This record gives sequence, C-alpha cells and structure tokens, in this order.
Amino acid sequence: MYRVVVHPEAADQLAELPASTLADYARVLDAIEVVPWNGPPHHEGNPDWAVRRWPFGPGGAGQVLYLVLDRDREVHVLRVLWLEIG
Amino acid sequence: MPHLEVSSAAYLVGGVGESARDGLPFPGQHAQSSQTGLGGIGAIVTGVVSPIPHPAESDPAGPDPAVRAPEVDPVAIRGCLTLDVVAVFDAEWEFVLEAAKQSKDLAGVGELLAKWRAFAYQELREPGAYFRVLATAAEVQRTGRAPAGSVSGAQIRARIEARLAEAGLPGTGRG
Repeated sequence: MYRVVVHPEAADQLAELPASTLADYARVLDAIEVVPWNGPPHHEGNPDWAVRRWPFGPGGAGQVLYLVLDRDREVHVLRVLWLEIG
Repeated sequence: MPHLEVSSAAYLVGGVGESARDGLPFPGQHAQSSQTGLGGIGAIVTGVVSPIPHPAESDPAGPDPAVRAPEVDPVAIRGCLTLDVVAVFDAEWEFVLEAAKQSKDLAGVGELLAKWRAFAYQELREPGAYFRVLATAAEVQRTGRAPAGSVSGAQIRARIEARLAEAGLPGTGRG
C-alpha cells in the first residue's frame, strides 16, 4: 500500500469535478494506493517515469496526474484534469 | 516551497527519469537535439524554448470560463500549446505513430490525443501548468516533501463523500 498525498492544486480541483464523476475519481484513488505503476506514464517514450496518469470518467475525460515515490511508499496526486464536454 | 526554475529542456525528452526513481533528469539530454532521447529509442527532438504569446497570458482575471477544450485533433491541440510544449507533444506524437506503424494498432494514437486534449485544455486555462506540474514533481522527488497545503487521500475521500451526499448520490462505501 502507498500513502496518498494530494497536492493543494489537485485538492482544489475537486470542486471543479461534476458530482457524477466523483465516484470514479474515488476509485482512481483506491487504485493508485495499491498499484500506482499500473497507470500509463506521463510520456509514452519514457515508460519507467515515476510521473504517471490514470484516466477516468466517460471517454477518459478525466486524468489524474501523480508521482510515485517508491522510497517513501507514497503517491502524490499532482493535478486532476477534467474536460468540460458539453 | 521555494520557487524552482526548471528548464523545459529536461522534459522534451521524457523528463524526470528513472532512472525516474532517482529524481534526476536523464543525463546528457538537451532541448536542441537528442539522438538517444525518449529513453534511448532514437527519436530526435528539436525544441525551441521560447514561449510565444498565449491567448490566456494577457488576461489578469484568470482563466476564461468560456475557454473550450480543443477537438481531438493534433492540429487543434498543437494550436493551444506554446512552442516548448508543442515540442514535447511532437516528440511523443512521433514516438506513438512509429509504434502504431509497427503494431498496426491505432489505439495508442487515440489515447495520446485524448491525453493531450486534456493537457491542451489545461494550458489554455492555466498557461505554463504543464511544466509547473513537472517542476513540482521533480522537487518532491528531490526533497521527499509535499508542498504546503497538501492533504491526505483520506481527507479527499471525506470531501468526495460530502459532495456525493450533497448531490443526493450514493456514497462510495469507503468514506
């Protein structure tokens, strides 16, 4: 298990997420707490990069960007991106 | 946390590496050219690190709520990015296209565009965010310390549960 730390920008972005996506976001937190390396790398050309992402929501409209710190068994949520699709 | 100046050059070729887990950029990589960039795959990156004027930069009122995400299209996405971020996009675009040529599978191209659509939207709303996020990641890797104001995953889950209850939606069962 990794300890999840949410950076202030990402914490603030929670307010921008539609309520209908929150359960999906919570499931992302569940996943990165256990298997953070299962998320694709931030850059496809660097598969071992500790900066990862985890898509969520319909059509992958949401992206959680996070950093894996194996030495501390921590996952730092850097940003939560959400596309306003309407 | 002290302000950290991080050149975009480090990220043109894949960024803070692992070697990622040591918290240091890949050694010997430069913005102008890298025969061994992108993790030694052989892509050549030619980035010019000189930001062009950005639609949102001149607006002191902050993000324009009317800003819309670009279409899922490489030209539309590139049009939302400054030159230094375009260089990162182009490098990854070339890498993924090459992989698609080999595999005959275009799924990776679609995933790339979906991801970059989100990054482009972020850049429109918050210019410079792409590299600021990576600079923060590099700083955390170096120091092991989270920025002031960070909260625990449990606190975020509690906020999620509160918002779900407020919206009359079922909880996640973990609150």
